Amino acid sequence: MDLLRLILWVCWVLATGIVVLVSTIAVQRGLRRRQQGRRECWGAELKEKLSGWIARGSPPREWFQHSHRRWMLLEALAERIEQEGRECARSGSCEMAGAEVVLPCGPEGEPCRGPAFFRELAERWNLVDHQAELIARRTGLQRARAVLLLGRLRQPRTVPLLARLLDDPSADVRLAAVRALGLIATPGAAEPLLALLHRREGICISIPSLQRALMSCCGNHPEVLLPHLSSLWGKRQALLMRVVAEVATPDLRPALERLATAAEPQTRAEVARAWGRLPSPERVPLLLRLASDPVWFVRVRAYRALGEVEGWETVNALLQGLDSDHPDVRQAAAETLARQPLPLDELIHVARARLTSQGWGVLLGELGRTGLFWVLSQQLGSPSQPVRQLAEQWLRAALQVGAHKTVLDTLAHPNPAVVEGVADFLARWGDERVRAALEEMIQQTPPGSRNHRKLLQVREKMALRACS
Amino acid sequence: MPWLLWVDRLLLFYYGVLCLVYLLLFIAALLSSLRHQVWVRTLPLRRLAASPLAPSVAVLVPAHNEALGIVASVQSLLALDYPRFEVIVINDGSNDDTLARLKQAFGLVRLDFFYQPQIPTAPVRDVYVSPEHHRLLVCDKQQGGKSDALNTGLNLCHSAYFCTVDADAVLNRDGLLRVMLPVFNDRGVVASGGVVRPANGCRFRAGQVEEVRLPSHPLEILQSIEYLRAFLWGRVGWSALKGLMIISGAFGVFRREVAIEVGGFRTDTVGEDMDLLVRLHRRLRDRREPYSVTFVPDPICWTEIPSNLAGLARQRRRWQRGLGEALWYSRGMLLRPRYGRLGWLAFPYQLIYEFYGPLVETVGLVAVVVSAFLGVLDRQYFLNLFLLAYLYGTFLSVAAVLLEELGYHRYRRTRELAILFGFALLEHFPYRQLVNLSRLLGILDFVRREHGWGKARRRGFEEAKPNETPAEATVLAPRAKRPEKIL
Repeated sequence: MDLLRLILWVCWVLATGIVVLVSTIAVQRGLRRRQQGRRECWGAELKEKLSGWIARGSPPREWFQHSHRRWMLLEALAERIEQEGRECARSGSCEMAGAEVVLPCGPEGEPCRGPAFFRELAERWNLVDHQAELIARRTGLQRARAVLLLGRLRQPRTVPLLARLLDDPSADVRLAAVRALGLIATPGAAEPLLALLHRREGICISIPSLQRALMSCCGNHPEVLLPHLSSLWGKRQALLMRVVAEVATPDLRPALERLATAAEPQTRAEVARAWGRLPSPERVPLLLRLASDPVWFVRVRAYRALGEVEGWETVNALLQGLDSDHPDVRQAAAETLARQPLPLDELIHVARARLTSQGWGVLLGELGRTGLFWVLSQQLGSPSQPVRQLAEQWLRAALQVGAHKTVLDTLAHPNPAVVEGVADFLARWGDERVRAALEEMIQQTPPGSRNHRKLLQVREKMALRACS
Repeated sequence: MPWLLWVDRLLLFYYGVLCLVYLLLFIAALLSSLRHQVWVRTLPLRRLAASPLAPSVAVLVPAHNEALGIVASVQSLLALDYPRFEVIVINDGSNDDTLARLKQAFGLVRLDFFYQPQIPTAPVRDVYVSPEHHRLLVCDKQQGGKSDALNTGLNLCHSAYFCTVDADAVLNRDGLLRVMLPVFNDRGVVASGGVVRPANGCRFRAGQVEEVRLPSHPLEILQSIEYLRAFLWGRVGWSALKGLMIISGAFGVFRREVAIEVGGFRTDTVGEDMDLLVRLHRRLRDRREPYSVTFVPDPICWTEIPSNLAGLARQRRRWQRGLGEALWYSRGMLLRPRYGRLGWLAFPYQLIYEFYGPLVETVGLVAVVVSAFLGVLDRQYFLNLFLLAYLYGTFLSVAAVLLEELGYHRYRRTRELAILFGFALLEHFPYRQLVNLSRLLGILDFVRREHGWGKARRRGFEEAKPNETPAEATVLAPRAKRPEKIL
């Protein structure tokens, strides 16, 4: 009987639970609707009156007293700071203006006041201190959100507070502090982040976020990173190097040269990436050296970086890369080579003398991806003899490495003259493999169709050629 | 009848533990879901969608006879908001004009591609690229099954992560970004899954969901409740407890390097998604490497669900077989301390409650019938237990609806919620018994070592109105097709 009573009791609890759940859903719906209505109302008021408040004094007191409205106000200001910062960056500098100036870049044709004006406004309305207090009061993710909003206000004076939050017990708050420092985006904000890298204990912060924040803080002042680069080692050096590779400027050349021989392969790979971004004639020998690095991904980075250098001096190294034992290196070299704006006849001449069948395969694959064969088939009918010869040379090279399917594919060209040209070419140079592929295609194509007729025509031509 | 008494006690114990596990999962899912909502609000999604540091992702779309919906599906994938991704469609020896439609829609040209497989697959016939859509690569290969097609995609891609998407599925525009959010913060994430929801009843426009609606067919509504329970509550809960063993193949992201290391997808199972995840867990735990597997409850993949009993039965039968196969291949993990919660909580749960569940349920029903026949059935005891099971099942379904309402609020009409509640009361009979029967047959298939996927009837997504331009075409969710694996 006890068990029965227990079951009944559980049933009663469950029935109550169901009622509670359904009521919660109903209440939640109602609350959501009500809150949404209020938010829309406040949002409309904010949108309508914010410009007036900015121009003449400050918002009414209730906008500061009510936490939700204050949050909305802060968000609106943060948005204006971001928006005007973007506009200023695009149109030139109005950062120093601090007051009404120049361009109509604000929303709905308002004058652009510059982000500094709005930062000052946030100070004047005492919103920054309010937010700092809020951070102290809140916990968990709510605290993280508050930290992030403080970061969006981009006040350099909040850097010490945010630096302290990097040691917060909550991982979310630490992450938010990193991102907030990244949003402030000044060399001063980078300092606490760089100090993290020098700590003996492990870094308990998301590395990609740290990297992003450093990139944003040091984007205009990469020299801040240099002293740290030489005093860090291993993975931490590589992390910093990734940042340097993104923000490198010509001033960093000596440091980059030094780091090209670093022990950490990841660092060397990032050096290659950084050199690729620097428009300097000295980069070629250095990149060529990195292209023969024993570690494959350093070579991949070096070949990709060589893609930024136009001209013949890199071709030999790239051709060497096509015969590499690592597929990613071959692919990187082929991609770079295919992008090079070089005369094809000379390239083919050099390449044929140097490449193995595998290297040819990779190169042709990549060139095929750029639509080269389609163009080449058109050039078979060119009035210029050198162009015709070049096209023939390439297509023959393709046949030699077994890319006959691609060549046969060009028979689908809508222009009959091109098809004629390809048919003549195949009749002249087609071997057994081409014949076999042709037969297979004839079998697969519906008899009587246009393509079928084209293929038969090629077969006929090949047979005639063989007889003669 | 002492043996009957023992069976009775055993079943009661079994059910009691199941109830406790479900309660635990619900609490974990509720907390995790609420936390996720606040977490996502702290993220700068717009900026992340253009971040150059985003890990590259290859979206793999295996397609076998998917001519009806493939173009809409690929269009929706190409419109994803993610900075670094490519879409690789693998035509797995289709007999219909899947490839022809792709060629026509995207102007594909054949690429002289040297296929160098790291995982052995069926031969690749051709690889095509689209001059207009540089993110698209289409591979035509001989038929080898879904796993083989996915392995081909794995061989073709060079990205850090790959995302598997069914050819009949439609992703939300920000779906890929959202499912990758855990990876942005932690590169130790080896797999991340998103929610799969029934597309039936929803309205689509230009390959995107325009309006979420509940399906009208009762069978589809019942499945919708199941999907809510399975994803928002089962998977989120298991993910919070760090015991997630399934990431749906219809929408899941995996780290490529590790997937290749474990040999890619297994071709001799129909539960290849679960199997891969379990093998990833196993490999990384064996190596004692820190890693994580996450489940993100808000990126949504919309997929068709069966609208007839035969399709549903076939699907559930296949899932059960896939579950059995995945568990069998990884049986070495069971109760081994090295595998932590997976070994002593998640794996036993999957085995005892998910795999043997239908069997136990059938034994329970038989025991009731035999007891009644022998005249030893305590009616009051039976009725009380029946009431308990009914109420608990309803509680779980209502809880799933609550999770949906608290977190995502997709069903905006009160009428739809009322329908969901109504069906939550009705699903226990006879829907559950029918599904149970199919799963039982799935166990039999597993024991008999049957293979193959069976045939799924397709109607496709596209039903464009004649007066609309292709870009604005309203795409209606179809009436019948293959959905996704649950729990």
